[in-house]
Amino acid sequence: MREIDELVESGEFSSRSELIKEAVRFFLLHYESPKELWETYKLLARERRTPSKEEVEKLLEEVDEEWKRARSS
Amino acid sequence: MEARKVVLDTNVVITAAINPFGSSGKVMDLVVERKVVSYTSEAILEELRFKLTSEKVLRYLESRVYALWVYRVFRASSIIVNPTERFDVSPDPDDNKLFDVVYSSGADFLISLDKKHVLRLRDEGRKFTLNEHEFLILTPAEFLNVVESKGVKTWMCNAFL
Repeated sequence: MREIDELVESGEFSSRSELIKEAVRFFLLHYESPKELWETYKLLARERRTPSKEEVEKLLEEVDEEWKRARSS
Repeated sequence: MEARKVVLDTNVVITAAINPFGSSGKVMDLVVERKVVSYTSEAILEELRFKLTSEKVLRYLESRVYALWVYRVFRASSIIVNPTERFDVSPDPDDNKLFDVVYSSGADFLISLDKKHVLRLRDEGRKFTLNEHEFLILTPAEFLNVVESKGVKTWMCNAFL
């Protein structure tokens, strides 16, 4: 944590959140194994609420309509 | 033995992102473990990125970072093709790019959750033919049944066609 603060104080990054965003971006761009990335994602998603099948179906339809609207405009 | 080739509809990847432990998530497991080979195109990826980062989807993923995370996993796990032959087979023109990739890659399976269009196109045997290329159109759950019943290392597409 202190090292993060030092990087921010030295002007490398304007804020902690900017540094973290940059670190996540770097991680996503340079991580070599999609399998490990996917496994980590699953671990992070473990506590998430699982929506019902119907809820997901409705969501997929709505997002598809959004996509079509964006394409036609 | 060569791994079977699949094309995933964007709705499968989005559903896997929302619930990585369901059928769609298990299909993603097979893709990232290279037990099946996923083929896609820039056109499919463009649609996927748009939908994954939609506010409606982000409500379930909690953060745009997670959306891009899944996008990155799928992109890095798939072979991107540039189809030269275009098909017009679905009442929803947006679906045609899936068929373009199936034909271009010679995929054995198109996996989709689109009950309105894509899944309706298959025959009683769940098959569909483009020119002379025959393949199966399956939901993620149906695809997993096929994999489980035949064993992922030994299953042959011809056994189901």
